[in-house]
Amino acid sequence: MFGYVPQATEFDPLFQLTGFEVALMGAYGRIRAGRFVPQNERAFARECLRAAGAEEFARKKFSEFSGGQKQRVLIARALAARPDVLVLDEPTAGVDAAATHALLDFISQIHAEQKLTILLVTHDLPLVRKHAQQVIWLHQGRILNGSAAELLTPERMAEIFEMEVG
Amino acid sequence: MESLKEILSPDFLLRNSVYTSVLIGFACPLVGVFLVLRRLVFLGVALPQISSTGVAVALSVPMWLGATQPEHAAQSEHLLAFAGSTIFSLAAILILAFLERRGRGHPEGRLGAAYVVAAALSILLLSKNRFAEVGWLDLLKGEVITVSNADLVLTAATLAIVLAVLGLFQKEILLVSFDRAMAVTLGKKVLFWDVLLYLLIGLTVSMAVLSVGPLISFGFLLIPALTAHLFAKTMRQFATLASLIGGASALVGFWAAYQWDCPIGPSDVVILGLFMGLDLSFTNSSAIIELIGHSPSVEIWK
Repeated sequence: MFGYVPQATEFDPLFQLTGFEVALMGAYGRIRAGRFVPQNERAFARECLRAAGAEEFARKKFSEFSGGQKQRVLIARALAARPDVLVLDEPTAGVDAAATHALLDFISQIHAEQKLTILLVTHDLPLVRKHAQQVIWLHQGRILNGSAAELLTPERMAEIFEMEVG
Repeated sequence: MESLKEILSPDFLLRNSVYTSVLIGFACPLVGVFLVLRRLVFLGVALPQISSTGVAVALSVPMWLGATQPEHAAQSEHLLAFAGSTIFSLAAILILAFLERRGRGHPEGRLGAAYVVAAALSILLLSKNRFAEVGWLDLLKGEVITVSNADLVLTAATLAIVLAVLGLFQKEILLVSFDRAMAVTLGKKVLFWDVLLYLLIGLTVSMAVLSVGPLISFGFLLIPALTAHLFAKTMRQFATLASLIGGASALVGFWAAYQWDCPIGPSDVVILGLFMGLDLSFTNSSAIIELIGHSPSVEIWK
């Protein structure tokens, strides 16, 4: 099961959903159509919000959150799906620098604590250097695979971008 | 107040019209909420018009087949009109959705063209039909005067279906509308839920067009939802408030039309407009400008 975390900017502000209602959607995969959401799933969604540091956003309107707050709620929603792999698509798009650091530290923490595989899609190379263990780099039709330490050295990057170093 | 008591009386001659208007007022906004949420406002304009073309086509079929005017034509006419309205709405919504999914052409232009061609076709068909009665034009103008018990039951059944489907499958329809990619990762059959929602919209629109005409159907589909959105804090409040505004406007509209001898349908829409105007005076007008104006696309299959 994938836990999918899309870009926070993708969502239409017309939807009148609270943080809790968004997080609860993660549980919908386990509930058959036409059935009401059972209490244990509601309690689990609350736990996921707590784990994502988004408990305080449960009763507030999702559309009014900042980028970082939305990302936390979306991570809670992905966790509520009980995933084997967490897929994050540009999680820091539209998020300010301070919130980006906090968010990525939090994602690293989830990885360490819950032993969850995390697949992060991003254009932010400094972020990759700091947080990623394994990198799959798509560059001009080429696929480069390796650890962050191997791929993101100045010499290797210059070679990839066909530039002179220094 | 006397006239209000009169129209609410069980002995009132036009009681079926009152009940039908109010039922349509409750039902249309429930599906209209999803038209607004999916930014399909233009579809809300085009669909009732296409549905009314279905009525005109269906009413013309006997003439094309060379039939003479039967003596007891009213019942069969109404059945034909219901069939035409339903088939055209459902076919139109599925075709437009299919074209949208293929991603060809301009969605707004397509809906605009469908609207104008459908409107012109309705007028042409009715003007060339030698059996056409003034009553048919009244139907398309929204003159909800003669409503039979069978029509009332059909309208009530439609409202019951809308309530049952939206109540039972609210979480699936909401998830697919809010975040399709997430729905796919959770193993939901996105296409199935889309089609179910569009069938529900099609059914409601065809029923509404048959009872109150295209203009009023459009009014009930969109204005209550746009008005309720400014006040509602949750999705449940949004749908409930929109439905209540629709039902209340239908009743007040009927009363106003009866009191001042005006056409019922247009009175309903003006009352809806007044509700919206009052709403705007209490809330920030920029919110509604965003609702109507911020329409990056009119995608059916987002």
